[in-house]
Amino acid sequence: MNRQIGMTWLAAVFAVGWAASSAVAGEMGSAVIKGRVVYEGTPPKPKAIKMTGDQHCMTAHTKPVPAQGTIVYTKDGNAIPYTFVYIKSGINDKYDPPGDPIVLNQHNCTYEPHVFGMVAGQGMNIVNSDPTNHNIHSLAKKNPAFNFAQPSKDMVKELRGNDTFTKPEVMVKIKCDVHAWMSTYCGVMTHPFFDVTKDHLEAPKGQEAQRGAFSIEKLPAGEYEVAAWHETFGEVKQKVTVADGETKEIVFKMGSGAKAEAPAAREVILGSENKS
Amino acid sequence: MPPDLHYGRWSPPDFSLHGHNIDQLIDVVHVFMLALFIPWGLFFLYCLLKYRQKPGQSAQYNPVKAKISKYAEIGVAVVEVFLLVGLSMPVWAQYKNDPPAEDERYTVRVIAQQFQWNAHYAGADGVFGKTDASLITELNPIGLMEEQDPHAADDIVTINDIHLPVGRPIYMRLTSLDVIHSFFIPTMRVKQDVIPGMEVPIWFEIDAWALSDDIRGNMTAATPIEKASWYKLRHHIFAEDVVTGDGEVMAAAGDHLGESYKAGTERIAELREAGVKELVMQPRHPLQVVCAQLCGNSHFKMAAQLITHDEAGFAAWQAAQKQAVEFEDF
Amino acid sequence: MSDHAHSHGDHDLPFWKKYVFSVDHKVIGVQYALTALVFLFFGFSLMMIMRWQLAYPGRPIPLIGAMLSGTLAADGVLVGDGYNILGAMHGTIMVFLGIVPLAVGGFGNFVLPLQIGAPDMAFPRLNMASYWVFFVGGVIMIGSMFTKTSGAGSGWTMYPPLAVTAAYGETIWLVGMVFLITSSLLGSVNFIVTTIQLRARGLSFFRLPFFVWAQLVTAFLLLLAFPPLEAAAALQLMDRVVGTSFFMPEGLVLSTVHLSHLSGGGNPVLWQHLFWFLAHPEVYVLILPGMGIIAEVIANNTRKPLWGYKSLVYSVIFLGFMSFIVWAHHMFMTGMGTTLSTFFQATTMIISVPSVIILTCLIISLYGAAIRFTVPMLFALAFLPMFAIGGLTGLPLGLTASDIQLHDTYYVIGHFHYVVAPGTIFAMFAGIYYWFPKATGRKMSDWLGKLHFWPSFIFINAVFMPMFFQGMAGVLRRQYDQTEQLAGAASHGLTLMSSWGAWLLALAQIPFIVNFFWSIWKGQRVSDNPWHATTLEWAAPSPPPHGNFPAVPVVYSGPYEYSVPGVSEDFCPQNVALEA
Repeated sequence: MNRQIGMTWLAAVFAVGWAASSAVAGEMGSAVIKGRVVYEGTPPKPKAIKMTGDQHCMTAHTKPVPAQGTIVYTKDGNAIPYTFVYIKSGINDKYDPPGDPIVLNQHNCTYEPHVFGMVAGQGMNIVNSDPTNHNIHSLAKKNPAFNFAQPSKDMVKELRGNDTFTKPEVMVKIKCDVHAWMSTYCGVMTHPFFDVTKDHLEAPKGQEAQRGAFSIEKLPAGEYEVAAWHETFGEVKQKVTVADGETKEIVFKMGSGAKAEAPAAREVILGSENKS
Repeated sequence: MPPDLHYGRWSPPDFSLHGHNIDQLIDVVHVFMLALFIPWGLFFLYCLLKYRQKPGQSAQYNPVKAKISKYAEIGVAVVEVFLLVGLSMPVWAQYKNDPPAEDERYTVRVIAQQFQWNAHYAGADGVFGKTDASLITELNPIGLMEEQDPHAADDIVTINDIHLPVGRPIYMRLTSLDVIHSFFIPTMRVKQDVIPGMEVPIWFEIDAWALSDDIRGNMTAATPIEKASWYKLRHHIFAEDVVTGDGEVMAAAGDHLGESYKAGTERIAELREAGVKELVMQPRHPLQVVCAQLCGNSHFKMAAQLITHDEAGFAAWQAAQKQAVEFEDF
Repeated sequence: MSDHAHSHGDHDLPFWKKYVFSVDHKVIGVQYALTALVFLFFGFSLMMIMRWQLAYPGRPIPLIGAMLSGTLAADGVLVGDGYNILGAMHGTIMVFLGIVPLAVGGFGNFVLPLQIGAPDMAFPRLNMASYWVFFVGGVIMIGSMFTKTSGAGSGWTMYPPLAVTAAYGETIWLVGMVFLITSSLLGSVNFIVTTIQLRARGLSFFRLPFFVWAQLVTAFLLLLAFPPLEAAAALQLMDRVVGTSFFMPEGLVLSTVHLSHLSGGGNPVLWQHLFWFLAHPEVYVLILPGMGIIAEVIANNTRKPLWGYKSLVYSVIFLGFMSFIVWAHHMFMTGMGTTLSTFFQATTMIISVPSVIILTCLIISLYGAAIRFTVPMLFALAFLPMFAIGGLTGLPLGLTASDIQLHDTYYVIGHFHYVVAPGTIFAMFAGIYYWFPKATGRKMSDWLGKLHFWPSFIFINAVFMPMFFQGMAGVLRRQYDQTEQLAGAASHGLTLMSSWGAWLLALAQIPFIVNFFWSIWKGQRVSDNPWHATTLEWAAPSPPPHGNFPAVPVVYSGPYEYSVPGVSEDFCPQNVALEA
């Protein structure tokens, strides 16, 4: 009898401990930091990409396409899309990655999304939605520098465990070696407090005010340094303090002065994880 | 223009001035090869039939005394000397030693990388803008010093899209950024390994009548629908509208069969069920530059379309490249 | 010598010393042959997987697709990386783990001491060492395919900078090569010393069977040509692992990343020279033992001496010498000028002369013969026209101007496969059927042998003949999807023919595998000399005991005294004095 009670207690303790450990380690709050990223001054003209050399890309884009890293919405207050806004310092907890993987999609010869963030350790699914060969190549410095080809439509590569990005790195550049204009940037964070400013596809006609806007939610109260990173215009920072339930609106101004700190791309000869 | 040009049967069509020399050498060598193989083969079969082991008959210890093999050997050597000195060396020497004069030739740079051919044109000023490796980005694949070098302003850089003028010697400066590639135009009989750390020039001239649009028309061919396979026709477009007996338009001129095996095979089946008897198609891009040296996982995908123009067309193309692109939305 | 033969006392050796770590050349020969046959089968399987992707690009491979690793395939469809890895490993395994160990390590070890009347190799322990070093090298090479990187993927030619920067199994490949090369070097020394020092009394050089000459020249090729590659492999290993720049030029930009940490100053073409300095003689290493086997089988089954024995010997020596000065014909497209290319074109044309002489002598040997169509003879006869096709198609490749169009196309693949596949591998089969009775005391089944031969002959031509036409049309080699290229799309029908030929060829090997193993235990027992052959190995018991010959043989005549006029029997063994 005593033995049975003892075993039941042990099981209960075990269950509670297990449940507790699998809960999100980091704290979530109720504060919000939102705002817009704009260009100060006259922005440079967007560069045009001609997607030559691959029939699928040429069929999908018969006219030149603007390079995403050079788009500024001059008709909407110089709003800048594809800016990665994140809490640079002030968060000390470690946060478990969400169970759902990030989906990086190769579609019509562009990466969707063009800029994205993830929590370190989160799984990544790399999908080829094009009936053409893509060669996805990660130029990460601290994370795996994978480099593989997906020749057919609907191929999915699931990266989990040590194959996905597990170390914080701002920003990891991933590009396609077959279609040179294709690139995407990934911010690997230890926490989920980040956002990417919206482009004209997410904020079409009628919602132009949302272009260049970001919103970081469920933030715990505290003093933070918030940074906005853009592949061409560089990174700007601001200090923001929020209390529980408070919403603060800020504006990031980027000018041609701040040169983009080129995402430290990693020389692929030495230290590549897959080498043997 | 020769009629009925095709890919896939013996040599591909040849659109260069020097190509026929190479084809001639290949043909002569093959005749020589057959001249050796057929007598060998016939003698071989003769012996197999005549000299089977038969009861009561033994082999001959010393059957052949003739000097025929010695003469045959000398004959082989003489022919090989002729092939070497008479045919191969002169063609190779011209290919390697006689670049066209500077004032006559059109110079273009081709910089290979995994997995694209970057073509660099000097533009109106005829001077190539300087490049620097540290400026290389996905939007500037060759690192052109656009801001620092005034000569770079009129330069044109294309990706997997090579345009060349006909009827003029072309001088091509080849190099690679990363690994060894090989620049190969099957229809111009031109091949050169592209090695990083080296710049190797090649030269050739395209026949004056070999304009891409004309070639495309000339390569129109009808494939019976039972023999049609998407793999064979994936790069082709319809030369004319496909109309069934009832007058229904199943496909327009310029349409293709589909982008994947599944889509293409379904389309062919659909056309067959509608009663279409043959597919009259032509290659969308009849001229290609392909990479002939293994360069990585997408080596098979490293192909550039090659488009040939007359002088006016070439000038018009260059002008169109330098036109600023306006995006209305922003 | 007789003391040496009896000092082992093999009757008292434990199993592992008699059959595993044995110093007996026959055991070592069988070990080499069996290991090599397993590796050959594995290497062939890799190609069969690739042939599915070639025939049906982008479609999942039935049965095997699901078992391939994530680097090689996705959802059962081979990917570009996987195709290149399987291709590079196929080439490496067939050449270094398959043919050389079988032809030289297997046949050379087993037959050569017997054919010269020796009790064993000059250095038996060195012989054992060479096998085990080969075995370790083989395990490393094949094992690399089961690690995360799945094997090397930059071609068996491993050209830098691709091979240095690739993230696959190139490092393990280089380590494996060091073992394999060392094994060949140990073996070649043994062969040379044995042939020069241990010939029986009366066996002068010009009484040696042609097989021994072929193995002797092969041993010199291995000894002299391999060291530069071993050095080059060490250099490339350093480039990969430590960051040196032996083969890496300055200013490399890989996927927009400037490799500024490398000092540069190296040259990728240097690797090509060092590699091909070996790899050209290596291809003669692949063919010469085969020619040796064919010569033996033809002499035996024509019941007359080989025609032009002296020409054959001088030709093979000249061929060996010339093979060291033709290597850059693999490099005509690297930007070579006229001076260098003239030299190499000329030497390449010259080297075709001894090949033509050898083939002509073997064909003329059929004249006035009494041909027995035994199973080894079927393979030997097939070798002749197949080697002719392979050799002749080397001519347009060896001339620089025609090489412009044909280099790196399927024409090259057709050319070298004709020499190695229906050439050397058929010679290997001929040798197995021929010497099986000596090794086991039993004969392999004739009808299974014919069932093996005829479909193999037909399907091997179905695989490789279309490749010449594809190469002429401009279809390139090492293409994951040939149909991306216009020429490849147009000739897709020929690709289907090659693929189906390959799969049917694989099925045609089943009678051989069954025959081989069944005959070891259940084959018809035969005498010591079932083929009525003249060379010395047939004077030993079947299988020969440790020490080979009960008494040291003495040689009285040349190697092919068949149908000697005035002698009642139609053959006269070398160790039997001819009555006047």
